[in-house]
Amino acid sequence: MSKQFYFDKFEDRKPYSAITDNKYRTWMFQFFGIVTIVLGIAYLNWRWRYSLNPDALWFAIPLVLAETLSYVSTILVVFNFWSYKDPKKSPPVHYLSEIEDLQGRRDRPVKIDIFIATYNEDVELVRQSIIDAKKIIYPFSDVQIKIYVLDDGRRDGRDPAKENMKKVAEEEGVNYKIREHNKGYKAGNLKNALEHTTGDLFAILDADTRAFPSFLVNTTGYFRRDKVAWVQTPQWFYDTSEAEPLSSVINRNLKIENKNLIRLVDSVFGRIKINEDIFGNDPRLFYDVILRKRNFYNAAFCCGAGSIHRRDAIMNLAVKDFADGIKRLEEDLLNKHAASNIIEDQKKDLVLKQEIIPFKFHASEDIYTSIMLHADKENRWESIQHPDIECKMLSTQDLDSWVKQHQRYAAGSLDIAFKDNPVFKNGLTLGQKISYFTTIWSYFAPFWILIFLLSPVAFFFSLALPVQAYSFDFFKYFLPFQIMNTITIMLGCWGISTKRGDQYYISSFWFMLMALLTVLRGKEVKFNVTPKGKHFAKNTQHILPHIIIISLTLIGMLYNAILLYLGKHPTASGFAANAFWCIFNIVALSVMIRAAYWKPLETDSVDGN
Amino acid sequence: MENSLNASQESDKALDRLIPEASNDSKLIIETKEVRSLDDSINLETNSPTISPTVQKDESSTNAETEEIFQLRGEDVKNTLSGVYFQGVQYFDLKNVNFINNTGIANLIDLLKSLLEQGVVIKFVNVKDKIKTKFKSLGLDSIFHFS
Repeated sequence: MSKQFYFDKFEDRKPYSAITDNKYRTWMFQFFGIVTIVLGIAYLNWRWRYSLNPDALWFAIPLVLAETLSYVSTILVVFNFWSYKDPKKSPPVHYLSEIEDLQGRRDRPVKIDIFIATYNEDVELVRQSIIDAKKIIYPFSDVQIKIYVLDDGRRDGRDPAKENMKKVAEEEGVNYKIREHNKGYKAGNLKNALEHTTGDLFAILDADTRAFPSFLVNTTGYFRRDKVAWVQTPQWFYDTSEAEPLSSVINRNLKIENKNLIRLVDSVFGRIKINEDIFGNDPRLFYDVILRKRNFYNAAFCCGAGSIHRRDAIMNLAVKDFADGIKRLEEDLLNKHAASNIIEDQKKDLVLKQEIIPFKFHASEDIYTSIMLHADKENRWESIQHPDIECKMLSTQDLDSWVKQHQRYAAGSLDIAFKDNPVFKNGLTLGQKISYFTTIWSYFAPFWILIFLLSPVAFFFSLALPVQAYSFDFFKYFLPFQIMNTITIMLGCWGISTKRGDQYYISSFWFMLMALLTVLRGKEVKFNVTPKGKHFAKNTQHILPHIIIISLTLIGMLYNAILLYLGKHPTASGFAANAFWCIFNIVALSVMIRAAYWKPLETDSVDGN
Repeated sequence: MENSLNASQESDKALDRLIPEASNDSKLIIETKEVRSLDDSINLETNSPTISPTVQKDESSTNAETEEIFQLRGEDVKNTLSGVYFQGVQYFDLKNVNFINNTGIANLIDLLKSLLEQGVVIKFVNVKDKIKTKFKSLGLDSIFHFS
């Protein structure tokens, strides 16, 4: 009997359909987006010039600064969401001549490799991915499709304490590749694979990526355009937590057994659904809107799994990088010695030192390699974000794993920003620069989010207002801007709920701040393998800042309510405005606290490592 | 400079003479194998009547077209090229190579490095202009030596 997993019950879940592009909706988005930007300028102009409370500049300046930085995000969102530009779909390729110029060579069917990268995941979980990869169909029987399990855990039977991945690969009749070290982590694993394989195109799947039969049929056609370097498909997590009626949660937690009482609770709370996608894992907004709309700027980046690549593009980058690396080393030597004969003598060492590295050895190897390919002026490589789901994956199932995964994304992107910022990268177009900048900028959000979270607390305890007054003027500028902004986002994310995403945007401030500090301190960003299973590790450390802020907010509110009751509060309108804002903050922060203690109803477990 | 990309015609002629001479001396020869065919897709046609992918063991490649020599990474390039060793230099004859892609170049870099570790310098002879241009465009002209 095959091993049981918690996600077995989700096998029949069907993926969402990609949003249908609608030009009228796009025009409306563009119109409202521009109006929002204009109203934002008017609001901030008023804020900076007329609204600051001169008696509390220590408070007023940080808040208006936070609002300004947040406004930059608004502009970037409008830019990023400007328009869909889905590439034309083509039938799957058959011959090499369909994807590249033969330059006198004889034609032949294309060769495709499928890589399944694994490190420490349950071998039975990987078996499922292998089985699904074997079910991938292709209309041309002479097209060679080979499947490779790339096991960086060296589970080839040498260590009896470990599971035997090699045996599973053999049982499934697929190729098995290992290396004797873990240099470069996943990028190193792919490097090793590319050294031992021959496909003209290769797909990258993670250990838990289960490709649909149509995976190749729907994606290889894009490579008819000879500058397409890679195609990324959406990552769809089919195991996110299900919505459950609030009444069920109440009945369960209060252990209500009386049937009449249960009926009563059901009738009152039965329609309210909670706990859907408790970790905010659903990446639909990212793939179906953010990344897909970057097709417009040829700036969609690779996300490391569920993608298919042109080998010659990635090898071109690797070879160029090799040559550039030697040139850099030569220049360093020249600067030190200023004698070309010394360099000639040492050239051998330089060549030996340099490696051919297809995917950058970096914690965010996917986005970094994408930047490098996009920046190639000679080839002008194109990327494609395919709109439809072609594979399914598992999401993180506990807060600790979730935080570690997202912290790596954040730290990886920030590391690129500090060491090789795409904004200054020669070769990228303006649209690409702004798109990559948008990604990087989003990781600076904790600065302004923290100010927004602490502002009500500062008010409650100092009783100082950051604005001169919550007057008609304030609402005259603030409300139109906010209303237009809400409509713009609604149009831009049409058909997708942004509720959970908004909550996590705020709630993520702490781990993102920690990621920022990691990079600023110059620490190496490590490639942590994301555990795919349920661990229920110690989560409290991740929510301590949330608990502190919520507690301070509640104490402050209570203190102010008492002052108000005693008639000693200097500004009732300030209290009302801040109290309203607090509720919004508390709801957003509490989502992560809830996630920390969330457990599914059935605690059947699967181990990720 | 002798080992520059644009080597003189004289040295080309000298090397043309050198190769047959050196080939007769087995001590000097590292590799003189005929170019090996590498395309392994041929067998798949008969093995895969369905439209599902053929799942195969990783196998060493055999019987393919010579023009694909330099497409394939993961092969032992030394075994795919005609070459001779003479006075600390390994010469490889690229007269049959009309095309080289980036994987092929990566292969040659691996070859260059592995021989360099043993103190052996590589030189390529009978290199077509198209291929020289490709090396140059990749910034590899100062690393590889053509004669």
